[in-house]
Order: sequence, then structure tokens, then C-alpha cells
Amino acid sequence: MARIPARRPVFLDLRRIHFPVGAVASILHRLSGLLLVLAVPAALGLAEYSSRSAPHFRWVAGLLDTRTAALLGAVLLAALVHHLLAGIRLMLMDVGVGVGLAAARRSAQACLLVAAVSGLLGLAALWPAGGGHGG
Amino acid sequence: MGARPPATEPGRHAGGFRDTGASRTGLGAWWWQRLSALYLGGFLTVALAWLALDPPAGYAQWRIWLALDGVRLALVLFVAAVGIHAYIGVRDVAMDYLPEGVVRVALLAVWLLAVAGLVAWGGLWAADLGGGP
Repeated sequence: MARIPARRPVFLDLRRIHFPVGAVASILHRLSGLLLVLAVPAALGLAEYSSRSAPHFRWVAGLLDTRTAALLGAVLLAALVHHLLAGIRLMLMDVGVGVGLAAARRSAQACLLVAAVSGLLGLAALWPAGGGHGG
Repeated sequence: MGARPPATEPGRHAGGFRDTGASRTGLGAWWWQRLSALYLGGFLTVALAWLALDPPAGYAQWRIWLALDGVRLALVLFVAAVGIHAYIGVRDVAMDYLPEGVVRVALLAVWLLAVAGLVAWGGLWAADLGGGP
């Protein structure tokens, strides 16, 4: 049995650890799912609250017209877009589309890129105009 | 190895190996996850595009939208689909990262109750929106 070298490399240097893009897309599929699962009750709660009366509706509208809400909304939009695209990617792979390594890498990169762009566009769209109430 | 057992029991194949999943529900969950995903993807795309392109002008319009039969039905289905998708998704993650045992079963039972509560509450809210403001 070969001896384990005493000075074997230990790759804990974060600048050198490099996950394949498919692994990044995969773990982000899970993380975005967990994030979205937390957002659903909050979104449903806000929708229910806004449906109670006109003052309730205005309160929710005011809450959503803040920078904090814009930031949260942008993160959730990016999470949703990534989760959706990564899910479509997996279902296409289920039926044999894009299974090859090169295609799988490209589609994983595309999911991440489109999600990031969506988040930025969402942030621009959601950012409160001049009269925003701040944080 | 002696003679292989005959494939007589459900879930047991010729050669003696069993289906994956303790209760042989793996494939069912796999299908439900995809079915709910298709609905969620369609609903969220349409709903978010609608809200982004034509946001409700005020409370009255919001209530008129929410009272539409199609919207209420779509919302009830959304709540149900989100419950199915969230339960199976978290279950799959838990099965990957938590060791098999009482703790995992208990946590998943709590999660199932929480999801069921959300589905019941959200479904009743959406179904009851027809009455007007």
C-alpha cells in the first residue's frame, strides 16, 4: 500500500478552490429554492393583507416602494429566474437534451448569467423613484 | 451467493434489488415535483409579467382582479402547487444532508404540517376573494 505523502497539498485556499460551473448552478438551485420557500408565505401574507381594505393596500404599496424592498425583490427575482431556468435545464436533461459536458456547462453558465441580469434589471425597475422612503 | 429470489413482491425486481426509497414513493414524488414546477413556472411568469407591465392602479382595481374566477382558480392552484413543490424540494434536500432517523422524520413532519397550514390558509383566502371589497 502506497504511503500517504507527509506534505500532501491541502486545498483550502479559497482563491484556488474552483467548483465546476454545473456544481455552482446545482447548489444555487437548492439555495434559491430554500430562499423562495421562505418568500412564498411572505408574499402571500402581503397579498392577503393588501386585499383587506384600501388603507391596508396603501400600506403594502408603501412598504414595497422602499430601497430595502427593491433589494429584496431583486434578490428574489434573481433566485426565481435561476431556480426556474435550472429546473427547466434539469427537465430537458431528463429527456436527453443538453446532457453532454460542453452543453451542460454552457447551459449552467446561461442560467447563472440570465439570473444575474434579471436581478440587476429587477433592481433598476423596483428602485423607488425620487419619492422613495429610503431604507 | 445462492439462488436469486423470484421477483414476486411489489418493488422487488428480479435479482433481488429493491426500488430506491423506503416506501417506494420516489418516482411519484419525482413526477409531482415536475408537474408542480410546470404550473409554478407558467403561473409566476404570467403573474409577475402582469404585475410588472400593468400594476394595479389602486385597491378597487386590485380587488376586481382578485375576484375574477380565473385569477382565484389560478391562485388556489398556485398555493397547492407551491405546497407540493416546497414539501418535496425540502424533503429531497433533507434526505441528502440529514442522517436517516427520528430527527429527520420529526423535522419533515413539522415541515409537512407547516406547508399544509400555508396551503389551507392561502387556499381559503384565494377561494374566498369573490365577494368583492
